Amino acid sequence: MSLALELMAAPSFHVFTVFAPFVCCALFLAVLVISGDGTDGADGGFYLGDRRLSPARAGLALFGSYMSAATLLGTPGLVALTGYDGMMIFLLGPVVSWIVIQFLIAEPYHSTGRFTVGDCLARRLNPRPVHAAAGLATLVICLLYLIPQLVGAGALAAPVLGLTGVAAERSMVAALGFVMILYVAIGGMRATTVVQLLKAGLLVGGGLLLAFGVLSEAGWNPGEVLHRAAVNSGAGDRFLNPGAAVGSDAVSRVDGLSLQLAIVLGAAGLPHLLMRISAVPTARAARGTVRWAALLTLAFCLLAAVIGLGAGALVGPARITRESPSGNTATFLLADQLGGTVLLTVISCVAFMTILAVVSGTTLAACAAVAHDLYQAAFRQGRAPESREVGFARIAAVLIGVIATALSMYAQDINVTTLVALAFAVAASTVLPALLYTLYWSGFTSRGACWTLYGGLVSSLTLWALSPGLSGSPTSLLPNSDFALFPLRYCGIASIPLGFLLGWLGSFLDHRQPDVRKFADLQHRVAVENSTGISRTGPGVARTTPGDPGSFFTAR
Amino acid sequence: MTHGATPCPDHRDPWHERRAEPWNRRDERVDDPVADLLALRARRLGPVRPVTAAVLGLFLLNAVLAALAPEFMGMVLVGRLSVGLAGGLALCAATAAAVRWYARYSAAYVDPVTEELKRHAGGAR
Repeated sequence: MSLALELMAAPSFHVFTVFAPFVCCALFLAVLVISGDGTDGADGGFYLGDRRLSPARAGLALFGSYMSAATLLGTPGLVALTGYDGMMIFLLGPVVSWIVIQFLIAEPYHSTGRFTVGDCLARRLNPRPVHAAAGLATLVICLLYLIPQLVGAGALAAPVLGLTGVAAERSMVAALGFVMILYVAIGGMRATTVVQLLKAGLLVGGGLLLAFGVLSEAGWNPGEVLHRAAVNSGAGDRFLNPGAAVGSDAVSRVDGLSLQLAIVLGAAGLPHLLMRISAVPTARAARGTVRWAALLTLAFCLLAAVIGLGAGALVGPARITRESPSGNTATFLLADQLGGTVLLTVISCVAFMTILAVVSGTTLAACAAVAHDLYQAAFRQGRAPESREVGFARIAAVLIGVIATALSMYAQDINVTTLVALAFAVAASTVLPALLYTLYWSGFTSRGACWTLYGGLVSSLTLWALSPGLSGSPTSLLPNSDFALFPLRYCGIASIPLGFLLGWLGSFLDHRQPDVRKFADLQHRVAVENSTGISRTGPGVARTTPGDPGSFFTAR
Repeated sequence: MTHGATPCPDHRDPWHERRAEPWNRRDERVDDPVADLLALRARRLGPVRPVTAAVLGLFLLNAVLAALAPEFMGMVLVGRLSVGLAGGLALCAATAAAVRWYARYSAAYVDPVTEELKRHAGGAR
């Protein structure tokens, strides 16, 4: 019997009666916070909020925007089904990825950037072309990240509505998309921060509940959970050895490596995370923020491993794959098994908040790219008034939200992992090389930036289009056609070095010399922890002319 | 490199020493605290990149070994704990330790230099 049918027979209606008021409360809270603060985004803070969060809270919000539906729903399923590979790729990768952000990106990015990646690059490069290139790359990454998250919301249909089928899943996606658009268009960063904080707390709580449930079933012995999951999987010892998920031939091994590389490097180029790093007052606060987020991620990934193994041990892979071949409903099945309807309701609410927080942050980053990089900096060359830009950002939020929701409603069959991995690979081959070169290499030029951003974007998307992920295999997006020339499903291992190479080559072939003076200025900025917005020189200097980009969207 | 003649030396420009103009040559007798502090800060930040490389290298080693030598990674240490799983847990511990080390190290060795730099830059900028 499927989960939905079981729940219809059981009092599944309770889930919805708790779930609907919960969503209303969450909405109401956000509205309360925005109106309580006195202003909307017109004066500033649409992109970055008020930038007053303490490092611990900002770290919680950063953790909240990083842990996506994939981690709560997809990964435990994969761990239950594939054991070792699921844990190493989808849990260890995100943990180690914080090293890159903490050590190489966070503080210099905070000192040099304002709202978007383009701002950081334009600090030392020719503003117009790099804003355009960075804006486009950001938009593509955000859309690629947004769609699988919204598709993941479809998995909520069975536990919440007690219905299965395309219509129920689409209505769930549409509802979430609608709430997301409301949040971002009205509340901007402030509402997003609230929802991310709330979500992070709920996620840790829900994860703890489930993990304690699993451990108490196994007599508080993690080894017992491992043992039972391995026995239940039917694979025996192979379950805890490499090779269950990616396969054992050479191509699949390289594929697994490619995916791991993309995840560990790509996180440092995800625009919605970089935007959260910008939204703290000082570079030192950015350091603390990332530290908190890294430790929280580590803790939650350990919990997710226990949850996934627990799902394998207590629910069993046969029932998980019957519900959803990719394992997206494993967490719900485990919750139902451990705590019945009550726990299922809690986990449904947690999952809804999880997805909402991530898609809100991502949509905000996307509309900042459209309004600030593409419209303001590239199209109007910084001449548009601030209110116009914010209005444009709100319209962009609605447009991007509608497009992403519509695409997700008709892409319910898409393989979520492939698309998330593509977003990571694009981020690691465009934004990451551009940022690292900008912050650390004196010889980087505008042409190098454009080559790495456009080249990385085109190469990773082309490789994906020619990969078995899009065509030529039964699990691909277009199973009926076959134009898969590139053997790998995940393109990171080719496109990431290519992105770095293009950045170097473009700078090398640029006939204009790099502006060493601007680079020295950037380094000086990083060294004195210059923070745009909250200036140390006092409020009189912080507010310059309204047209000056330096005073743009600054905190009060 | 462009060789625009700059009438006054700019300590924020690390290349000014290499320029031929006599007024751009750094005079050893004149104190240039900001350049010294910038150099000190860069030196203090020296260990950060090797640590990053070490943790990322361990991660890649784990991934490459899983791809090339699955038999080795599947060797059982204790109970159900294989070499690969132990490696994963060790990497988690290494990440936590690196993040903690960085917070302490930069608070103790980098931040004082930054404060000093801010003091010097405050009046000039």
